[in-house]
Amino acid sequence: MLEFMDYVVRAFERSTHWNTDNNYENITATSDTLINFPIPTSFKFQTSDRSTNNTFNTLEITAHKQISGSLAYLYTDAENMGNCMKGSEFRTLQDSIETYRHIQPFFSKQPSDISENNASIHTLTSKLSKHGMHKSLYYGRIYYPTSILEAMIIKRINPFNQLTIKSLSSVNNRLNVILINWQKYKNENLQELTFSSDSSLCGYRFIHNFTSSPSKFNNALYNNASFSMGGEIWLALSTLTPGCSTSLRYCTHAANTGRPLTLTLSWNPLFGHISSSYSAKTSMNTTFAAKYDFNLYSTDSNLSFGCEFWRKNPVQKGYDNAIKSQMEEPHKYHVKSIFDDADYLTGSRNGISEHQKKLLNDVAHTLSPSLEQMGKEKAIIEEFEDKFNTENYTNVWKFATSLRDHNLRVLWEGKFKGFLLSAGTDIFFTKEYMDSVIQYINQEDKPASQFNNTARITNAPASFGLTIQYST
Amino acid sequence: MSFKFNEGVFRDNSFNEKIKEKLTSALNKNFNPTNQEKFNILKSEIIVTKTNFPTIPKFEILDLDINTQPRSLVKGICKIIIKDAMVQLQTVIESNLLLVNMKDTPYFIKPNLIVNNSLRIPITMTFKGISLEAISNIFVKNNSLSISFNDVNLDFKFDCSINILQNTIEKRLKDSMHLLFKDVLPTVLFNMSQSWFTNNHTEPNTPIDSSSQVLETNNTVTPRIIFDDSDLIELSPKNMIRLSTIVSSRHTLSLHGTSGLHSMASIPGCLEKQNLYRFISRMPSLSNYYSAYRNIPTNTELNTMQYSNDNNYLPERVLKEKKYDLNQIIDIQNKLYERSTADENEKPKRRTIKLNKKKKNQKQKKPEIVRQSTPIFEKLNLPKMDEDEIIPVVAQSTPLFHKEKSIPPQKINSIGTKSKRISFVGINNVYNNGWKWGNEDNTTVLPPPPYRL
Repeated sequence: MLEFMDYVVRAFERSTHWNTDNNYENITATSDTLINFPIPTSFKFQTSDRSTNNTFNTLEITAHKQISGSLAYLYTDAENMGNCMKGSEFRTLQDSIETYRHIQPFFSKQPSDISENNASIHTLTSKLSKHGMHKSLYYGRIYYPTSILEAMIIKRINPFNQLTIKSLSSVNNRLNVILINWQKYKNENLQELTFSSDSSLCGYRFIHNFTSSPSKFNNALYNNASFSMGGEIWLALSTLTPGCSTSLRYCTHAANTGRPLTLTLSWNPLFGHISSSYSAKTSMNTTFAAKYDFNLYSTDSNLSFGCEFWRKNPVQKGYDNAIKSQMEEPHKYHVKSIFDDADYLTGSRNGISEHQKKLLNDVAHTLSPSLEQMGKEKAIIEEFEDKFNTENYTNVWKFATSLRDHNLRVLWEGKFKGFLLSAGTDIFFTKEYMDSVIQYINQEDKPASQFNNTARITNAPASFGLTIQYST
Repeated sequence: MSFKFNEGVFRDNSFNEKIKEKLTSALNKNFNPTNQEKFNILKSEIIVTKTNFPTIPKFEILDLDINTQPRSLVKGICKIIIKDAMVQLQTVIESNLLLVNMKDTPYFIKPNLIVNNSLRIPITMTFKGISLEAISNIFVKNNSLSISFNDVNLDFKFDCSINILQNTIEKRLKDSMHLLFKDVLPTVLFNMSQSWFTNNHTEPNTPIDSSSQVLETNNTVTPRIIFDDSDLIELSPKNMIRLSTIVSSRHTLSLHGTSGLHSMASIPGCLEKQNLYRFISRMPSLSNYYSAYRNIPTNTELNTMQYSNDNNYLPERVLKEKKYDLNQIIDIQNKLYERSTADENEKPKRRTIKLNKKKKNQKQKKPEIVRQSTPIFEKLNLPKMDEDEIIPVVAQSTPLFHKEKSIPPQKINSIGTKSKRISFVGINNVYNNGWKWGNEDNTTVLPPPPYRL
């Protein structure tokens, strides 16, 4: 579950049109949220409040062996925060937890077209600055009783640059770290420089989005695929330990069903580690992910699976179906509208000669089946996405398992009377347990009590936790 | 005291096996396989795969001093030379150090790295041609052994299975070598010897009830015998016979001297307890010289312990009858002072009043008088002391006997008598501060001299 402060930060980025999916850091976010989702380890209660449109605070109480807590304040001068975020009662479950990420193709998300000349960019920047693009966010959090202080400043310098400064300070001066992150967005590339005072870690990240230009978009069949490539280089100056990786990501949709799928391939050339993942939304309510890890040097391998099951309240199902049937009509109209009274046909009538107009009409006519097809595909894809986003889910089950670690991770997240709940456990199957299972299968006449005995010892959940969140 | 140095231990091939075992256990002391959660670069135990000490280590004793200082029993300076030794270590390490370093950083400020995975690499480190040349000081104390390395010259060829790491590891090893010889090795040896000499360390630290506490205190009193039967073979038989004679000579309850009148002990160089009063009576002191003038107390209680106290009194009768000779007293005091100070050139501070030159001439006759000052034993019966001068010093006087004996049998068992010895000197100082001796200054009041044979 997203913490309230993370939710606010995300809303801030949405309101300032900063695309976090374009970060190299988030290139494998989809498979990570499906397989390596965090599981609460303690009892945690969090209550958050939006005192004004610009200030937020959170009180958190954690009970794990001892009671501890934290108090967080956040201030932002972003304008339309009110629209971007809601209290936990009115927030949809999809919004408040990490799930499959719909990666928007580069061109559709970005207001600044790469094909456009500099002048247009200038007008755009001036326009954005007029709207107040120099937004910033200030965040502070103090923990009790450890007295650790967290602070963060996010600052949009201009539409293409964002600076993030994080710092952490402990009372006994044992750990004082400052982390500076500078992101620069230019054309299809996002470059990122990071410096952390913890062992003087320096990092450079880079991501490039291969994309079809918007002009191509107008002529070709609807193409919602995006292909990104990125890399990172790290070096801890004090210990001279290097780190690097390079990754590919390909997101597309199944043509006939419109269901999205994401493929990633990451490679760490220094340590010979290859990781590939495949995540897909197989239906509206289910998502599956598989990840295969392989090390070239040690030939270690690991296969992990993860899945999500979204559930609705059975009472609301009938109501939803009614809405669904209503939704069919405008959607059909939408398909027609693209072809019939497309803007470019009406616009072209003004400045173009009759002959050219006729030619264009002919071209349009010959291309009409494919255009129709394109519109259909786009409609299906958009409909699928919209439907998922507007669906009123009540809870979600997440499961993940890994063949090498012999574990089963279970997480349940749901909404109950305006409270957001999250409960999870991590069950380890130790080697002795596995052996006993195999023995049990092989010799069925073995007394069951003995089996139960070993199972009780080794099958205890390694961690269990519950988080309750309430925000207004 | 003599001992045999068994070279066979080093000659034997089992030495290599033994050192391999010891090294393995010593290196793995900090490694805890169950503590895998805490990220550590070491992923398995350090295994000593090969050791080879082809040549016998040269062990040269440059200086050996037994029982010189009150603090240590044996002090020695040794030269150790080891040549062409070889040690091979094997372990498994984590390859991605960035991951190891970042494991501890809090989530809030941890940059998220993609596929920042690690693999475990087996690493083999070979130390070839180890040559060690060191001069070390060895102190054997009452219940411990301390060794300090003075002049260490260590040289080896290092070979690592991972070439990238070879230089850094070599550099770090050279840096830490200094620390090893200055700090780590001496402390390890000291702790080991402490556990060897006393059996206290075996007692558990857990709280125990009173009954077992009594048991424990009993245990601490009983000396631990470090030599077992197999070791006795290696001891010099001549020394053992001597020691056993000393021990058996004490197996008597007689307080009278067993040997002849003028000989101190049956064994030359040894003083037996029952002959102590003779030894003391021959010491130069005022009370001994004027022993004939002593008052014989009515209460004739045998107490040999008195002799340690009344060694420098002038009997009352001498003063009354004015039988004293000033020159005699000066000579006695001079003699006492010479015995007490190690430095012979040091002259005692003395206030001298020059009346005429005749007195100076008298002083030059000193050597003759000295001989006279040694009292001749006239009486066979035990001399007694004034009643008011009896001070029980039983506890103080006993350590004296330990000191008198050149080879006390306890030393084998290494029971500490250090603390008792110190208290003996200290208490006597306090006791003597109150009164003057002869014509000496108040400021230079000296304790009774330590008796040396």
